[in-house]
Amino acid sequence: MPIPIKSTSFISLLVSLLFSSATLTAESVDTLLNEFNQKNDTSQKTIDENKGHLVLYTRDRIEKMRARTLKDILLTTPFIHYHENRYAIPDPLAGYSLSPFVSNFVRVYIDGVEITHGWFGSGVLLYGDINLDFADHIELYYGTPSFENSAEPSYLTIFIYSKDPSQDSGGKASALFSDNGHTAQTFSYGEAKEDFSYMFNISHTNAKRDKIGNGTSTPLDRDYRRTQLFGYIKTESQIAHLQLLSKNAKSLAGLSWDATPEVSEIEFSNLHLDYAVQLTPQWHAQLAYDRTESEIRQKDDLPLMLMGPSTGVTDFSAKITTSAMTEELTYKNQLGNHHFLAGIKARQKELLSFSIAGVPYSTMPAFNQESITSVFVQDQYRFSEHHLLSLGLSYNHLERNGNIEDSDLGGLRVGYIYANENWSYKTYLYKIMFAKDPTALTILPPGSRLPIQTSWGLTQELSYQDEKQHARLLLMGMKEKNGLLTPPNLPITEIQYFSAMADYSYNFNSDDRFDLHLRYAQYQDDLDLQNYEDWGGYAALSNRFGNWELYNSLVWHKNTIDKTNYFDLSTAITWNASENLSLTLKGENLLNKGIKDKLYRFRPDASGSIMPIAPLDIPVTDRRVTLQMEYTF
Amino acid sequence: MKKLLIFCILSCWHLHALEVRSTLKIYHELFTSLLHTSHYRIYTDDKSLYTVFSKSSKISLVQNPSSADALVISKRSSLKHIPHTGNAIVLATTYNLLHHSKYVIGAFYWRKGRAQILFVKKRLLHLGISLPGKYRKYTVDAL
Repeated sequence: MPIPIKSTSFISLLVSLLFSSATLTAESVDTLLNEFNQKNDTSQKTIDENKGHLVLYTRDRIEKMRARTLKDILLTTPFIHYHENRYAIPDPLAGYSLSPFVSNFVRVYIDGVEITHGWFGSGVLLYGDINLDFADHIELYYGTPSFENSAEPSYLTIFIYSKDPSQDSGGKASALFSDNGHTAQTFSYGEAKEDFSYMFNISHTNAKRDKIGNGTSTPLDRDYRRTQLFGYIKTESQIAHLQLLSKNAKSLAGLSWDATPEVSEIEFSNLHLDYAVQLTPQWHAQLAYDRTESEIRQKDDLPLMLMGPSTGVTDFSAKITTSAMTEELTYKNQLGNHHFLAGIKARQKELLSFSIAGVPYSTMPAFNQESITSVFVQDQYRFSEHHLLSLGLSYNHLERNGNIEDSDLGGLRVGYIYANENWSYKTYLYKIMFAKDPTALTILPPGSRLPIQTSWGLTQELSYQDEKQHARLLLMGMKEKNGLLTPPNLPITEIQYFSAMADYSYNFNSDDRFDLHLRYAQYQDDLDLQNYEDWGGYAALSNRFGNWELYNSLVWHKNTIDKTNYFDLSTAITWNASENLSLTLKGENLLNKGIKDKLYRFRPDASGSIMPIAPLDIPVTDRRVTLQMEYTF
Repeated sequence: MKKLLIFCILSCWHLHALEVRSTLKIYHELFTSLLHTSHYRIYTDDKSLYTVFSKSSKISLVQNPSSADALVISKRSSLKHIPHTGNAIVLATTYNLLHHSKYVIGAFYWRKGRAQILFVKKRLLHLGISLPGKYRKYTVDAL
């Protein structure tokens, strides 16, 4: 249950009493340095309170958590968490879906530029668990974000910002080993010259995951090998990024109805390039290009989940190459108390090549191009020292070839923010529309009417902050019509969502910090067919004692589907052996009671129908112990 | 008033702009401890710091290094000014500059994304500067 805001003073007192021994009297230089680090972590940089409801992971917080991947972060976030689907692909909204990827409502940006998988849509599919060695801080915005940031609509935007050589010059090498054979290595180097700076980071992960028994001699596998390169060069007004990602993965159950595949593998190779220039203080232009090659290989003794069980296809492989090109031009200006913002964005998605073996059809689909043109305007009016109103409008036109009809999407966002020295309140009313991604459109029967999801939402956030603590209550309500994730066989037309979160953090001093969040979410459809409630929370305590650092966290999940309380207890101890060398021992999911996802299974029969059989429980996180070493030079 | 920052819309181009209030507090503390005065003439070659210092009532920015009480340098090319600056003290914003020049007595710099302060005792003594005891953990004998 969400806690009322008044409870924060009680919690403050409680944690102060519990951990008073950890509270140290800092010397004045320590205090000043701590204040400086905190202010430069949270008071400036890229943070824009009007983008939405912010959950911030500062550099300090990420390091205290010993988070190495985006998965480590998303395991602790409210409302939308890390999940993988039946293909072992990061897919936070996967639920019970059998689809390859359904999380297009979640978008990921690096240094303000969206990473996209052209034909599937969101780059979360590729970047949902990337190595974060290059990252400085992460901003998650809940609710419809400012239209400034999205060429396509979203509910949650994940902004990862990279380290800057002016604060991180030099090199760093790190290595990780775990008791189950999982290994990872990273290397990065950055330098700030007088007129430009550059940074590159390369990482390699050889992920070993626990095997999942499926009643056969071939348990389900989701190991992967991933190599990732991130690099940029920038001047005061220009920046260019190059990113490469190659992933070779075992894909869990894949297309096997009963989760007993003989072969289940997926490979991805992704190239991302972008260039941005600040033409004048008002005008900003940006270009981005993504190209992804995917290869899937699936084999089973029973017909695959491909075109229905009656096809008899048991061996299948496909290669797909897609691209997305995005162009943006935005204008910002301050006119009196008005902060005016407008822009035009265009994105061209293309299915470049498609080859398939093992099924009757093998030609390129007629539908292989989708263009999105987006325009938006937004005004933020500060009508007094403490009050701000904002109004945003957006329009997206989606144009498709292959006799697929076009779509028009409109967006509206009205907001109000109040802020004084310690308190702030913000509320947004929004309308947002979504269309199906091209992959889903490709498999719609000919002549289908294209579904457009329309959502109306109202959000409210009340927060209090002083030098020691931060407390917040966040309430979100949304009504959704023609939901894209609603199974087509259910006659549901409207779904209502309500969610609430209370979070609290307390800094005892620069070395000791406590974080807590509790959340509740409810989902109700108009026919009462799929009603659902979800509870959860996260508590973490981080401490530093001289050269030693400790981190302990507990993540709690419960929902009305299986009514089980899941607890993920993790702990880490770090020894800073010298200025340049640190060693960390970390235990993840130590109780082995962390959240598990249901993997639904079916048994196809000769008549072409499928019968459900007992689902499998898939742990989102394995229990493991890792040793991490980090050396800077 | 500081909460008005909440209304600021900052683009990624300001990614590493300094937060004014906390930056000035640190530099005021350093200058007061080193110069034993509450008003100082400062020369800096760092654009971001120049903007921050210009907002201080205690700091007078000077264009000529030789008329400064203290130099705060970020560029290696500025080291050539040092022999002509008389008794001005020199602080750096990078560890490399502190390491590279014996004229630089200390640095307020970034390391692994965190701010650090470091003074070199031998160089302080050479200029007859004695820092308060609270700086002991931020002082090394030599580099």
